[in-house]
Amino acid sequence: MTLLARVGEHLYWAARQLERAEGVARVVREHTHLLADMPVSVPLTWEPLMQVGGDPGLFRESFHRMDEASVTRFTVTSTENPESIASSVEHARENLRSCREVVPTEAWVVANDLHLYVHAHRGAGLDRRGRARLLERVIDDHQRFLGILLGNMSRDAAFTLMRLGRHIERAALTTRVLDVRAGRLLGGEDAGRYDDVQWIGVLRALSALHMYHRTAGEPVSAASAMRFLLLEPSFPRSVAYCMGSVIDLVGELPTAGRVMPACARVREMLDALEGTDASAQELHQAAHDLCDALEEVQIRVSETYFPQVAHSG
Amino acid sequence: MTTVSRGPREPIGPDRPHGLPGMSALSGHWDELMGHDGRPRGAARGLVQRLSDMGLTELRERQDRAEIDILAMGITFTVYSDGRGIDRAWPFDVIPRVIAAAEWRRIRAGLTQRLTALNMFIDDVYNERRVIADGVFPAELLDESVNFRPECVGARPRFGVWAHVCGSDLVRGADGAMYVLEDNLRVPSGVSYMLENRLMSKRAFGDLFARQSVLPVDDYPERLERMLESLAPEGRRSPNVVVLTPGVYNSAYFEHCFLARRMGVPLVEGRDLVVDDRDRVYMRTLGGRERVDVIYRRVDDAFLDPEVFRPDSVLGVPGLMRAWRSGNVGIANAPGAGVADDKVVYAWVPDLIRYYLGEDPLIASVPTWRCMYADERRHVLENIDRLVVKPANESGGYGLLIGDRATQAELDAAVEAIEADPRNWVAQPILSLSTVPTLAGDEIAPRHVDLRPFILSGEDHYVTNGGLTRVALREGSLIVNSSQGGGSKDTWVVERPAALR
Repeated sequence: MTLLARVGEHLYWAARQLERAEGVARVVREHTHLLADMPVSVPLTWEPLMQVGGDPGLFRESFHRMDEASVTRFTVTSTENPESIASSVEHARENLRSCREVVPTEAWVVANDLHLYVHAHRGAGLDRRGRARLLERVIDDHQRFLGILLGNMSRDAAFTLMRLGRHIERAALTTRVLDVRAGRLLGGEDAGRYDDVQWIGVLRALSALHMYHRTAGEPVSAASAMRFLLLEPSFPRSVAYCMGSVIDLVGELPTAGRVMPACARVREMLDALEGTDASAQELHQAAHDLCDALEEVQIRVSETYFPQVAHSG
Repeated sequence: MTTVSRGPREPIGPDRPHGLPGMSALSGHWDELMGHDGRPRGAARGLVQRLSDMGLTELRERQDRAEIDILAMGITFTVYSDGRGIDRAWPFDVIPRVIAAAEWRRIRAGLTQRLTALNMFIDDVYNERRVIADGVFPAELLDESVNFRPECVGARPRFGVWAHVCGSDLVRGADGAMYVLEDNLRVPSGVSYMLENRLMSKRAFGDLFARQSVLPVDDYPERLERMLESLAPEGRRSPNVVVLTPGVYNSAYFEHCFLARRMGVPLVEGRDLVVDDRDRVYMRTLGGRERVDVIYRRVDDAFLDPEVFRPDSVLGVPGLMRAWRSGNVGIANAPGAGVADDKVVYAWVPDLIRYYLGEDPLIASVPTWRCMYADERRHVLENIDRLVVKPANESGGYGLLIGDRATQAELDAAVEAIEADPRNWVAQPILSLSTVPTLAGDEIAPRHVDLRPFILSGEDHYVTNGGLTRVALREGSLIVNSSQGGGSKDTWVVERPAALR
């Protein structure tokens, strides 16, 4: 089945935005739990959540305090923050609306229904219970959305592009969370305060704690957690796993050659860490560099598959 | 002999209640379900019985459920407000409109006849112009028509067909006769809602569908696809068909998507297409350019090709007209088909049917006075408070004036507009549109309806079983357009079940 480049772009971004909404929902949920676990002597900080959830400059324009209400509003329901969960869901729904003829109807209904739900809370400050319900809904509905695609969508270029968007987003979110959290925990503002509990929180925020215990076989430390999230080949949210998928998916698309070098560069950066006993600081630096390298992959994908049609008028 | 005690028997025959409170005809209007004697019409008997058994509370619940489904499924139309498009849920009333199959067969024959003549007329005015030479149709009307496209003169679309998809609006007067109110030959919309309404009413009245024969409507997308494929250039096997939409902000975008999805063809925008220097049309796909053979365009003529029509159009495709004229792409409806979609041309349709087919019209047109003629204009101006005055080239019910409901200021403005540009105005008697019982809050009340069947024309004709019933949801209103407070109903063409015959 023919796939228009413009439609491909909508599909790619819809998949990315929904993946992002789910990913951020998990991070917000676990951060709330983590802070509840901390003794009162440890000052609560919502700043890392803000840094993961959007542009800090934008946050400071709209909010004056770094507290639970403002940070969760910024990351969950804000309409000003284009990366908030509400914005991601809305953009995804708009993108899917432009390709309803391609996406299975049931999947569209899930996304549209989620949008209506989130939209009703847009811009609102939610109490913890209301927020928890919204986050659950985002996570569950995205999982249903994926289930429907998995069960009902033909394995063609449209499906491939949606998977590509999802895996690039996953890799990007994992590196972003690592970059932010490591920056603060390793000699930064939050250092020395129940480090292992905090790193457990990072693993949990990326839904990795259970699989970490099954696979890694050592107690959680900064280096072991980061190593797992960056390199573990069997864990589907690790950067290495996602990049493996990205490379396979790009290989299924036409003119893969223009995207491959950027993917290979990410792969090399990961390979360079493999089998070394890189320190937590070195792993942090790697996570930081990977953010940029992944951005480069995104640019190549856009240039190759979505050449200006969307903007040429 | 043993006496068997019988339980209370249900009343039968005339004692049986006829429908729910509020289900009755208005005096002076025809009701599609209920006769003036308070009894259901033959074809509606099964439905009215079912509604009585169900009760108002249950009916209201089914209505609410349908509305929730509509919202979740994103069945919407777009309206413009403050310069941006807003998605509104499609307004649907759960009580269907019923038409007897025998009557529908007559209407179908009438519509087929009408479209045959209209297509012959369009082909004629762009080619031989026999109709003008023979003095049947005035030449000056063509020259002045905004929908006549000189760029199309001499074009020869396949089968001589220009208006491949037509939505004709039918109304039923107080006398029970059906009239064609207008023919929409450019980019008529509504067929997707007809199909979605059927899904909704199957959910609400599934048991009735099992018990009586409601003729299906679901095959429309397949018929449309087959007709479109037949327009492909000579020698193109398994042709590529696309639907061309103005984009996501168009009021009918939902429908464009719906039809593309149901036909399994790409939904393209102008920027997705390109015409090369050999006058062939291609779409930009992920893997490069791919040939396009047939375009079902939902973009108005004026925006189709900036090389030929409006140069500022960003919705169209430069070179599309070249490609079409060279026979390298089929376009439905053909550019220029709108010439017969003019409310002035409408007044000639009965003459055109007699001229081209030598037959009398099987389905009536509404008597129409043409303001371009002094005597007819005088009649209109003298009786303006008893007429419906319409601009000849507007769609969506805009600019329409209903004389007996207008204020003096509105009447004065209409008189002024007619005198300034008589060619652009026609007038018709105020029809007493028929009604169908409709949920209004927690009550049932009669509301006025029209009916838009869809007619496909290619090598042969196809007419939908029924069509889209549009209903004016406000009490007393005659405006059925969804952009102005209209709703919709499913339309059942019912073969009478043997038991009730």
